[in-house]
Parts: sequence; C-alpha cells; structure tokens
Amino acid sequence: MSLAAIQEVPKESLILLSGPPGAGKSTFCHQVVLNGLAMEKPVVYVTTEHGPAEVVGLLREKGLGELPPNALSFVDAFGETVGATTPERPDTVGANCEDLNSISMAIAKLQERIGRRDILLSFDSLTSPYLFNKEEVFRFMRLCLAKFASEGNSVLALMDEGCGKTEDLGAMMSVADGILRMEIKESSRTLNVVKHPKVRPTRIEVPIESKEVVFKAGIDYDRAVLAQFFKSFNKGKTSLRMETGDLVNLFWSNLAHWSGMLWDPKGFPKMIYEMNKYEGSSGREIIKVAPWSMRLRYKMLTSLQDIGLLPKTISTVKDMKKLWKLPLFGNLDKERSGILEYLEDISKPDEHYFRIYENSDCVGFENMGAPIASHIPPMLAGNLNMVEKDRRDWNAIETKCIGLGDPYCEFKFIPDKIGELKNSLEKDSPVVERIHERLMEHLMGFLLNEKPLVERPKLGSDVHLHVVMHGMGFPHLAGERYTMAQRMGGARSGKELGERLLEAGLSEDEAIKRVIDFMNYCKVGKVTLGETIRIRENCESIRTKLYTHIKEPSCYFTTGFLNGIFSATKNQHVREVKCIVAEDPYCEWEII
Amino acid sequence: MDDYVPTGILGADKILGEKGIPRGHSILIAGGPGSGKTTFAIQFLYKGAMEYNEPGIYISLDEDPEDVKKNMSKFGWDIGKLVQEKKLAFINVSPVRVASSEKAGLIQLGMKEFKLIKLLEAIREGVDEVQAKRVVIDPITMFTLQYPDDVERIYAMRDLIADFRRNGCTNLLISELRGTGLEREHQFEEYLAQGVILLRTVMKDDRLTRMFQVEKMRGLEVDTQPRPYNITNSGIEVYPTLTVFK
Repeated sequence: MSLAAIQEVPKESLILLSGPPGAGKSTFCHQVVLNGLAMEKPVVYVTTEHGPAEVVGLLREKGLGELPPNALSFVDAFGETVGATTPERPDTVGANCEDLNSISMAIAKLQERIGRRDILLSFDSLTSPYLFNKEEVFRFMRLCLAKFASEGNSVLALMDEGCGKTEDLGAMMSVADGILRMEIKESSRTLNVVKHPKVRPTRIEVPIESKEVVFKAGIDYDRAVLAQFFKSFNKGKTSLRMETGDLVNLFWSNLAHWSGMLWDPKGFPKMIYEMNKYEGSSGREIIKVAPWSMRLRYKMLTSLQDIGLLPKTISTVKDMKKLWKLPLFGNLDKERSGILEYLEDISKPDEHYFRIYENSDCVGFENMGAPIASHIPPMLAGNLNMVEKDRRDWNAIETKCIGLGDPYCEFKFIPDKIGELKNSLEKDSPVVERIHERLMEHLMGFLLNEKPLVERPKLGSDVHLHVVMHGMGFPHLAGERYTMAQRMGGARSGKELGERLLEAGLSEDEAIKRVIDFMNYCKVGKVTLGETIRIRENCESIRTKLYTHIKEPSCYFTTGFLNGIFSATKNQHVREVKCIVAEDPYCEWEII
Repeated sequence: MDDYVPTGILGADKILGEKGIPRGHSILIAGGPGSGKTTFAIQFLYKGAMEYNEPGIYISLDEDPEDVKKNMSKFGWDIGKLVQEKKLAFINVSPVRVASSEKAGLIQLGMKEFKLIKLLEAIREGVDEVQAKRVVIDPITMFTLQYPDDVERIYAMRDLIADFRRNGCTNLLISELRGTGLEREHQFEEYLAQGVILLRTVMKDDRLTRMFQVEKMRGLEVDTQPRPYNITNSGIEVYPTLTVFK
C-alpha cells in the first residue's frame, strides 16, 4: 500500500486525520492539496493556525506553481481569530474560529463562487474551533462538513490529539467516513489507516521529507537493472525495451522538460542542474554495483592515475586532452545528445571550453533569446568531478547556444562556483512561455499538418531513453517539488494541447487519438487506448526504474500530460494504477 | 404579472420557495437593534427598482431618510439616482423629528397631522408619484404607539393592511423585536401580518450569531428553519442551506 493512495480523498467522504502536534499532519494535508490540484480539483483550504500567505509559501516549497483562478481558495479563520481584519479577496473569505457559523458561511460562499461539486476541502485544523466551541463542533462536522462532502466533494479535516477530552475525539471520529491517525516515535512516522472508504486498514511508514534536495547515492541502484542498462547502453547488445528499442524522439524529452520548467521556472532548472551534476559524478557509486568489466575499466583508470600515466587533476589543457575521450567521461555519442569537441585553443588551466553540435536540448529552439542547454553542462561537470582524484567542485555554464542564435553550443567549465550561473539557471517566465509556445507550434504542425518534428543532420531525431526528460529519472531522489513540477507542468501542456486541438475543429475522440499516435510516433512506449490507457515499455518509468527501489506508480509527467489531454477534451481525469516502477508489466491509467 | 415578489436578497428567495413574497401581502420584518432590518428593507426596494422594475417607497417614521440614504450608500447602492428617476421615494412622517420646513424631494407631514388617515394619504401620494409596487414602513412600532388602546391599535393596523391590499403593493412593516434570544413574546402585529420574517441575533459569550427565519408566510410553502445570515459590504446575504451553530 502506498502513501499516494491515501493522499487522494475519495469523493463524498469526510476523512479525519488526527495525531499529536508535530506528527506531520499538515505536511500530509499539503500533499493531499497538491495532489488534488494536480487532479484539477478546486481546493478550498480552511486555515486556522496560519494566514493564507503562509500556507501558500509552504505549498510553494513543495512545488506549487502558478494556478488558474478558483483553483485554490482560502477560508481565513486565522486573521480574524487573532484580531486582524482580513480584506475580502476573490480567493479568500474571512471567518472566525470562535464562530462556526462564519466558517460555514465562508465555505458556502466559496462553494458558490467555484460552482463545482468536486471540491477538495482541507480543514487545517479543527483544533481551534473545538477549543472555542467544544461539543458544538460535532454538529458542525455533521451538518457542515459531512453535508458538504455528501454533495459530491471530498473533505480532509485535521485534529490534534491530546487537547480536549478523549471521548470528544471519539465523537469526532464517529462522524467521519474515514479515520487516519499519525504517530511519531523517535525519528519515524507512521500513518495508521484505521478506517477508509477505499483502502483496507493498514500502517504506512511516512518518510520524513527534507527541505533540501537530497540524493541518496548508490543504495537505490538495482544491480540487475543496471547490468542490463550497461549492456544495452555501452555495447548496444541488448535493449532495455525489447519491443520499442532504446531510442525516444527528443521532442518528447524536451516537451517533458519544458513542461516542468513551465510550472516551476525558478526551482526546476536548479534541480535539473544539481541532479545532472550528481548523476555525472555518480560513477564512483554506480561502479560498486556495475558489471565486472566496468569495474575493471574503472580500476585501470584509477591505477593509471596512481602511477602517473593519467593526470590526477584536470588542470592544464594537456590534462584535459588526455582525459576527455575516456569512456567513463561523456557518453554523449551513445546518448545521441550531441557531438562533443574540446576547444583546446581557447581553454586554459582550470578553465576549459567544450563545443557541442546538434545538442538535443537546444535543436528546435533557435533564436529564443536565452541559453537552452540544461543537461549536458552539469552532466559533464559531474564527469570531471568523478574523474579527478581530488574531486573538485566542477561547474559549467553555457556561453554560446543555438537558443541564442549560435550554430552550436559552447560551455565553460571551472573547478569552482560560477558567479553568473545562478542567474543563468533561473528562467524568466516569458522566456519559458516563448519556448513552450515554440514546442506547441511544432506539435500542432505535426498533429494537424503532418509537419515533421525536429530532425538533426547527423544524429537524427532520437535520443537514448537514458536522457529522456534531460537525464531526469530520479523523482524519488529529487523530492516533491520535482514530481510536482513534472506532473503539473505535464497537465498544463496536455490541457493546452487538448484545447488547441478542439479549437482547430477536431472532435474529442480524434484529438485524443492523434495525441496517442504522436506518443507512439515518439516511441514513448507502446501506447494503447481502451477502457484504460496502457503504455508498455514507457520510457519514463524505465528511466526511473534504473535509479530506484521504491515500488509505486511514478510516471509523473506522463500522468500529468494524459490528465491534461483528457481534462481538456472529455472533462475526465486519469489515475496511474499500474506502473513498471511498481513491478507491473506495464503502466496503466484508469480514466475517471 | 407574477403572483410573487422576489425580495432580491441573496438566499432569502430560496427560503421563500424560490418565489418571493406573495404579491399584495404585508410582511412584518422583526429584528433587534443592529440586526439589519432597515438594510433588508432598503435592499428590497433597491433590488425591486433595479432588477424587477418595481418602484418603491420608503416611509420613515423614525429616522431621517437622509441618514438612511447615507447609511445605505456603503453597500454601493446608488439610491440618489433612483430617487431622481422616480423609481424610489423617501417619505418622512416621523412624528418626533419632523422639521417644519419642507425639504426638496421629500413629502413631509407635521406631527399634528400624524394620524392613520394622514399616513394613508401620504402613502397613496407616494405610491401615485412613483407608481410604487413596494412599500416599506420603518418602523411600524412608531405608528402603533400612537394608539395606546389595544383594540384601537388592532383596528388601525387592520385598516392599514387592508388599504395596502387594495392598492396592490407588497409591504414590509419593520418592527422592533422585543426580547432578544430564542425565547420571546409574540407581538400582536405578527398575527395581523400575512407573513413574518425574523432577523434574530443571539449573543454567546462575546460573539454574535445572526439567524434569518421565516416564521410565517401565508400562501407559500416555506422553510421555517432558522438559517444563518450576514451583513456584508454588498448587503444582506442569507445562507438558505446552512444550519445555525450555537
């Protein structure tokens, strides 16, 4: 049983989540809210302990991006309760914890404004209203919250354990359709599903989320999967995907990447940079579980460095010339992500330049007025870090780019922090919108007029699935913010595409059919549409599976994208019920 | 012509069976101080004139109509414009505060003339002037006070209501609610009026709960449960499906 299944509140139910303070109730609640938003449910957030701005801040940390109007509304039962007046805004209605009527009226008001019957109401928390109103809260739960739920909506209400009488908590539980209890013991958190309309009673360990992007090295690699990967990747002897092959159209990769950027233009590029850098330098961890031939090769490299035949540090141009073509460094040709060239003329000690032709990140984004490349620079910087004995902190910045109007891309590598790097990573929304628009134009041209997608003179249109989504495939290592960006960005792209196809005069079914054909054309996997959507050999999950042992549905971008398409065309949603990452034979989405 | 008059008040019409007040009826609006009686009445007239093309008159027996107009401007209602367009008239028949001088746009009666017959005349004049379909008397208490004798009082009220009935106007009679809280005495006006709407306020600790309740509405199936209401910056809002919490 995964946490994800619990994070969706079934419709027409009131779920009570109780636990001692600090057990992670609010964190869980935020996850439920983000999950609801990702499913395009309008969310009404009743906040009693913080102001709405603070809640939005916390949600942003977990990856909340820009939302359409009415997607997230607040009942601010905090400001007035502590004596501040809350100005009425379209998305916020004030209320007072002391007055249950004011809360119930505020909810009714927002319900009318939103005008839908699939609202997710999160009540965070009932503790203050209970302290002010005691037993009357039971009536409130029944006649306001349970009634609201019975109209088709879903409600998650939080309550602190340990304040008030035990029998009162029992009374509250008796009103709820589902009961979740969080426990905290030392450093572990457990979620007890005591009663739930959809899930059997169970206990789930809840990982404690860190705010920092954390990479768990080595431990997450699966030796067998990795062996197969090296076999296919290095030798081309076998395939990770027997039917579809290992190549994926780079358009799909770029669509996924820029969808994530669309959702989180400030945070996403930094995550991509850090993760690719980590991946580039992860060879030392991977080598421990790699096949013997790889380990031997690595051993030889380090031995040659030890006896001085190969440089231990890459300082001079001469050092770099000896090292850059080693098989452990730069696999761009195998990835088909570009043709790499070391620029020895302009490089100098501790400042090296590389040029890349036909960069898969950037082809198709000519003259966007911004550097585009996102996975190769940090990847190679990570490679340099790995090859060096003393592992300096190499960083890279793009100095020339197809996106800036140059015929190729060039990068500068320095074994230190690069001042202007942060600025170049944080993308402005207009730039991202422009890039997104370019992608949409290409895609619409392809879908409506059979115009070809991007094609490169030497490397063609495909990249290895290893670099799909710009080398991303660590959702479990990257955390909520990354998965949120992929899912919500995917939903935005999918929705926009669906809307454009309908505007172009296609019927709903025709629009969906063309998108599915496009996915098959891109070799996303073997996509079939029936009662459900099924993707065999889905590149996203195969990519993810290389790097994780976590067994739960993990196709964030694919899910978001399909969700967007179905929501725009048929007003339906999809939920991933099977996933290759979760050891299922294929990925599958039910249509709801 | 429709048989019912929508109040134009958010949520209240839903409680009144999605219809409104039966046309020609006199409805008593009873509420404590600050419960929004006058707001309710002005909103009834304003919405009538704006949305249902039913002009109205407001007969003040207590407050200066100018004060009422000023107070109501905070809800964003352009009352002055409606007065100019002759869709709304304010008549001051306050027996206490009336000044001898005549104010422009107002029909004034002196204290001495203040008798049922004069009130009726004033109403008729006003109704004729704007072709009124809606009439508010605020507060009716000031009128009944003129008749210390119970029997006389009842007859005077009867005559007033009968007269309204003849001219086809739908009326709100505003009354002070004696006794706050849930227990209270019934007032004789409640028996005479064809409908009674209560705007009650209950204090618990130091906070106020407002309840809207249609106690009686002859000729209409109504929801008689108390429902919460609020005075917002756009007027009164009643929440017809919500329960009142203590």
